[in-house]
Amino acid sequence: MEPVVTHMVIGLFFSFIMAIFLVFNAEWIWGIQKEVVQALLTFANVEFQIEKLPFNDLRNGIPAFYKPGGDVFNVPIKYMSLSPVLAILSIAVLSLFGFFSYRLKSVPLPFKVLILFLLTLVISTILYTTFVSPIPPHAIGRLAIDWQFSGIIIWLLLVVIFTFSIFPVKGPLWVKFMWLGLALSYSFIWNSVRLSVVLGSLYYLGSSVFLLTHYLTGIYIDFIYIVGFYSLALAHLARIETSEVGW
Amino acid sequence: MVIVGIIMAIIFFVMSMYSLRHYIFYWNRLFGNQKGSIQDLAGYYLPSVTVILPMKNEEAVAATILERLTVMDYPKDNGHFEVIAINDNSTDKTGEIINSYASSHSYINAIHRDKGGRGKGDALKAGTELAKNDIILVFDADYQPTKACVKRLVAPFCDPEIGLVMGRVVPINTTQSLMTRLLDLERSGGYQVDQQARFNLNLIPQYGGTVGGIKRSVLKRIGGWNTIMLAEDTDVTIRTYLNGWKIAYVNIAECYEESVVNWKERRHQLTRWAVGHNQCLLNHSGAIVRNPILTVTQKIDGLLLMGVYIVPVLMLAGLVLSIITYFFGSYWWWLLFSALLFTVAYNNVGNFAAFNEIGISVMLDKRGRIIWLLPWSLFNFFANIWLCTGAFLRSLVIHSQDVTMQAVGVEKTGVRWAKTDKRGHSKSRGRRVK
Repeated sequence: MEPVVTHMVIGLFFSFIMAIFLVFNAEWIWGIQKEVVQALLTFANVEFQIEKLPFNDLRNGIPAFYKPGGDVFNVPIKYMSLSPVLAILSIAVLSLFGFFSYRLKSVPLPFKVLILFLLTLVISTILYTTFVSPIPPHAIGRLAIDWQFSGIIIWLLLVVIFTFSIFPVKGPLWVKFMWLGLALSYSFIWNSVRLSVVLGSLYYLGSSVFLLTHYLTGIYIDFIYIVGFYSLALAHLARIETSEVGW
Repeated sequence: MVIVGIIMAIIFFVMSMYSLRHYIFYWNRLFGNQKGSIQDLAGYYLPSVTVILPMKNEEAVAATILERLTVMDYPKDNGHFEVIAINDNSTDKTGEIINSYASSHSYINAIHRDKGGRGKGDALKAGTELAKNDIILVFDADYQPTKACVKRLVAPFCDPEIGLVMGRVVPINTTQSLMTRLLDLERSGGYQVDQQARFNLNLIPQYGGTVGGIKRSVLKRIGGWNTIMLAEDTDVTIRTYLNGWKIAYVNIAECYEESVVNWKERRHQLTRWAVGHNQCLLNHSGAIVRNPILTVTQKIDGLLLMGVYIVPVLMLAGLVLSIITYFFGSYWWWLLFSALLFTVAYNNVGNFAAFNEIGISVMLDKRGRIIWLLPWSLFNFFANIWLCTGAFLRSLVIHSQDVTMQAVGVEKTGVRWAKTDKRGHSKSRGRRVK
């Protein structure tokens, strides 16, 4: 068997082990992450409580509706609701800002699109919190953040991506595992920071920013660092390959 | 919410097809059999060839491409090598430059057009009518072929099944801006992996309108150049396959191009490509599905090839739907959908050449550090969403106008030149032409 195919089989095996590990140890990993988040929130002077609920782990399957479980962070939230007039005024100002940003030649096109995308999220949030409910969806009466927000599932995605994209590439196995390890470690740190930012911004800025802090810093930004680690790993492997060819 | 669910399922299915296609190509380039043996004939099989150079206001680059052709490693005596340089109603010094080369080189013919349709398709049509040889190669004015390019491009024509050939486009002004560096990555993935894998797998490599060639007899049989399509190259690709010929991709027939350097130019270029592909999708989908010659995989690849600029539109639809499900759907539904959407989108990032393809292409080219720029492709991805959605809407308008004109019996007119301004500063920054 080709060494690269062997590497991919090793990667697949590692993915399988990782999946089993995550299913049976989600509570333990969350326990460590919880400590980090707790320390960061204390540092930021955020009031919070940790409530202990029955742990609904991955062995029970994915529930149809979100149900907090395990150690759950509870943060008092200021539910801000704008008056309809103020909401419409804010939307008008934001729309004008979007329009001028789009027309401004000095702003590169991708940033224009990004600004429009962010404005869509902000305007949607204002409309919802003003005309539907001041409480953002899925935030329930109190905001509960538990392991299901922790980014543990991204670990599985990371391993799968590395298995199919990095492990089949020619190069030493240790380099592949090294970059996978670094990506997983970074993911753990990043997700702890992300959760702290979500909770801190909710505490200080209120519910209106929930969509931005939770939705945007979740799935969207995860991909940026995943592509980043993929690039670094591949560049490292390419450098080794090129130097071997040169030799 | 049921309708939203159905739409989301369709989006997910289509994007999964593209992701799967990217992985198959990537896999093929890493482990599959590589076609290329036909290149052993390069330099031995030297048929008579006509090179057509359509130009409009190309004074900045005209001399460079003509100079490259004069030093081309190909026998030029007895009409074996003919260059038809077409000055298509230029208002600058393009005509004078062409005349000066034509007066000093017997095989270069200067054609000055000031009548007839206005577009690259029309210029090609005029050039083809004047061509003396059966094999016609086309180069855009801002391209710089390597010395061996022509003999490598014509080699596959010894196979009678081959109707079209396509060479590899390599950006030359790579260090000019972040945009040119990112386009370098995109081109690398698109040619080194995507085109070669499609050729290896007997799918549909694409003729890109330049750095390629066609047999005049084949062109006649498929109905000639289409002067009303914005992407006459994709159109001719599909019609070639529909009529039973194949396209050969020649990875080592390299030709250097001057990439666009800013977003304004990129916007024009991408919009033109997207509208052109969408036109082909709307015009040829039925014919591809019904065609008795094409295999099932070729049919699927043909549809995916023409629909590639729809992917960012689907992404936008997915984003909008994910916001709707966030506010009004169940949490898990939203989370699952968003995760799936972005997992698939992630595989399509990088200006349609999946990031994997780009990464592997850079490896195959024995380059390394440029991969560090890959995360920047996310910005291109956002821009693509916007531009391709605009192009999609424009395609629908054009198509509905065409249908209406057809219904009332009015003949469609040709498109005008849709070109990108060239500065001719590709010589000083980036790669050196071999």
